[in-house]
Amino acid sequence: MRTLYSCLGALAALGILVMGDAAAQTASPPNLKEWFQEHDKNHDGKVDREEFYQGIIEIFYFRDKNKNGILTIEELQGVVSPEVVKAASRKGDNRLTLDEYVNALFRDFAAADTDGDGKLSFEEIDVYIRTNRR
Amino acid sequence: MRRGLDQCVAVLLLIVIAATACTTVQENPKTAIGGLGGAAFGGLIAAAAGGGGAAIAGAVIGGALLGGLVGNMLDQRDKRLQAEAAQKAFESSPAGKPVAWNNPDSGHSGTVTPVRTYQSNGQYCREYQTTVTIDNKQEKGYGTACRQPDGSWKIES
Repeated sequence: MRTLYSCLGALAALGILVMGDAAAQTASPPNLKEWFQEHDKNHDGKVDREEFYQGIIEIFYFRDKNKNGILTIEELQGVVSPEVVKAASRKGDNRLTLDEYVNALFRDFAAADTDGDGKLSFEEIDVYIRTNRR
Repeated sequence: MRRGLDQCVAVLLLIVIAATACTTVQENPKTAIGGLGGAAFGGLIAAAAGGGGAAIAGAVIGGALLGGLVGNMLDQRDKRLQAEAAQKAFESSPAGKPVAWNNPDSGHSGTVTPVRTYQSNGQYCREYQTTVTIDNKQEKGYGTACRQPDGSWKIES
């Protein structure tokens, strides 16, 4: 099953890369480092699951324009394709609950965590983006 | 003799009351300090956002203890500015990004900073830190506000 990241080939789902940005196709998103530092709350050089989770919720909250607790295709427009939303949705519909959104992104977290320490280094995220970018 | 006994009883009572008050604050410092934010601007947030009377009353009750004391030191404009900053912070500020308020007339100022976001029963809640600076002395408080269906934010703790 394709996850949000791999479908995007980037961290677009986290809102730090706009899909279709041609300039970003061959390099890391320019604000990836900033995003990483911002979410590495304990400054240990890695983003752990809790830090990642907090980042996801914040993005979900700000993308949820009408604050109804659900993200629709319209609210994810320009970030993910409708197919990605349907794949991540348990009901296969055009909307994502926070749980569905979190689950999809944590599958990418696991895939990106190549050393299996339960945390993501900047390099792991960077490599994951480059490897999965389409 | 009787007068001496009365004095002893009065002193003992004062000690007991003082000790009880200290214990209450020390046992749960977060709750006590949290009241600073809650009672200080809890109701005002709801009011600023168009919340009804019940929401305002509930939010004020949600705050406690120090909130009333700090609230008394803020004038109406302070409270309005604080409430506006809180509404802006809860609604649109990312975690860790403070929204500041400042009243040049009173010289009072402060910040409201969301620190964590979560969902509870489909409702968005944000934990926050608030500061109030009065006479160059800064007080800090912590609390949680949850978004109501009408768009207002209610202080939960």
